[in-house]
Amino acid sequence: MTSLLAVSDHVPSGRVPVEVLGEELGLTPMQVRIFRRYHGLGEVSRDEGGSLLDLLRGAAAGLVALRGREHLVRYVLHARSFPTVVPYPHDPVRELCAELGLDAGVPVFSVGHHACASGLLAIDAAGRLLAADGDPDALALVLAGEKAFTPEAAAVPGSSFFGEGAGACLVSASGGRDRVLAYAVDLRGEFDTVADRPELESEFQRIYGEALAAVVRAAVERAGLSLERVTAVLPHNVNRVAWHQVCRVLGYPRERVVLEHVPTVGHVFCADHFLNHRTARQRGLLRPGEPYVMAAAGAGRGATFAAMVLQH
Amino acid sequence: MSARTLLPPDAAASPSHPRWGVRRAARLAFPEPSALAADPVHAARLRRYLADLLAPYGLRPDPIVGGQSYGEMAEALIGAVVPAGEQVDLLVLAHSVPDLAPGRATACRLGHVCPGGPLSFAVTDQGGTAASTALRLLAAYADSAGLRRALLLVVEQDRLPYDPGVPVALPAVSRGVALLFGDPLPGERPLRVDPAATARPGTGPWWELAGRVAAR
Repeated sequence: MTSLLAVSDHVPSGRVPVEVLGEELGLTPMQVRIFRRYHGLGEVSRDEGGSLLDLLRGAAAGLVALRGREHLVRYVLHARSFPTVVPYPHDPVRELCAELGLDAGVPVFSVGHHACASGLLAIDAAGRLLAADGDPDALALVLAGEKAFTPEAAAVPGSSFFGEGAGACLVSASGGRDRVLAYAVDLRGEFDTVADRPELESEFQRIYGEALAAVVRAAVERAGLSLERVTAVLPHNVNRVAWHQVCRVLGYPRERVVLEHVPTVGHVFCADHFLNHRTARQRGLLRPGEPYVMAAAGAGRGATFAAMVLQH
Repeated sequence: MSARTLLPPDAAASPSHPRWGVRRAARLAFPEPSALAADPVHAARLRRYLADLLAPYGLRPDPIVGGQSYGEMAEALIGAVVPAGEQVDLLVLAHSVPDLAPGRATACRLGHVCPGGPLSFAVTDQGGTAASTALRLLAAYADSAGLRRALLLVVEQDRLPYDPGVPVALPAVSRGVALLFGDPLPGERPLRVDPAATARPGTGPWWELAGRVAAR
């Protein structure tokens, strides 16, 4: 059964207030005020002058469990919010693998096109590759995190600002920690051209809370559980109001949704779950044997709603 | 569309059908630029995206002329390989050279247009051998998640709108291959494919494979 042997994250120390970002992106002062007061966004993390490799290196450095197990890593997956994040054929993920001392023949690749829900896809895919190979000791390294290098990768229009950072986890097909119980995904390719069609943008905003709630409910039901037993929800850090709406739809207490990093870090692409995993552990929201949920909506050109139930 | 729900590998494992393999194949060349290449709104967006992508590397985009939308290529391939009335459970898009639409979640869109509304995603950035890993994933999901009617799309375009400053090999022509996997229907003899045997860069091995399937 797919499990997470270890989870880590890296958030650089730099911060930029949303007012500064708003000016750079051409937003009106009213739009920025809505982001701060309504969506609960205050500042976002930035690694000025740093590279994608720097971000991913920071997350990998926190994976203490990797040390001494480098030879067991069979796959390395980079979960992408944006399909193209470096000039082809530059490959900072492979550079990182060399730094970490991983076998040069290990497949290193990206999975995505689920936007910010691609991190959950990467965990699921890694677990299935390992299970198919049948080696109980084998591991996969899943990495997430990107640079906010262009306006398109700096903000989710009307919803959020991206923060720079990264996350990493070691996936096993046989471990007993943070076991995956179920995964649900709802692809909504009809929103592919949302950036060019205002009527689709309105429709997307209208269905957002219901669709995200539905996929959480679907994953929990597939795991054979009831939502009352879920001790925490580790969200994507899109904004507070979207998750408050999801909580209303689900009837789930919002204090058990890890939203601490929305005002101070922003939406860290596919890495939010890794960052929020640490925070949930620190808050005591993850208890041995109890289930929790990681969930995300990926929006942009195409939309994906996804949720994964795990047992701590 | 409703959500697909999956159990993890052990819990959902089903015995692999011994004859699961390639049931149908299609291969297409795309010598003409895609329709998207002529869209001025897209061109303006692409220029900004590429300029910002390249700047940290000390690189600049070339004038953008032509290019291929993998969404358009893939939709043509889906139409050529998925028989009328059939459904697809899983779609995996594999490529190395970036799409003309570098920020687009193309596979998500393809999940919407492909019959069956498959779970769809992309595998990229593996030095030209992403399709081989995509095939491993296809087989893994077929066995462990029951997504047995699976479509592999391998696409590569012949154009990169910048000099990356390092050696790069581009195809001579933009091509795409579609392989429809599944359990055999009466009278069919699906072709088993070993991912290791196709672990060569580009569409070449897949193009040859599609030819072999068509000749059976």
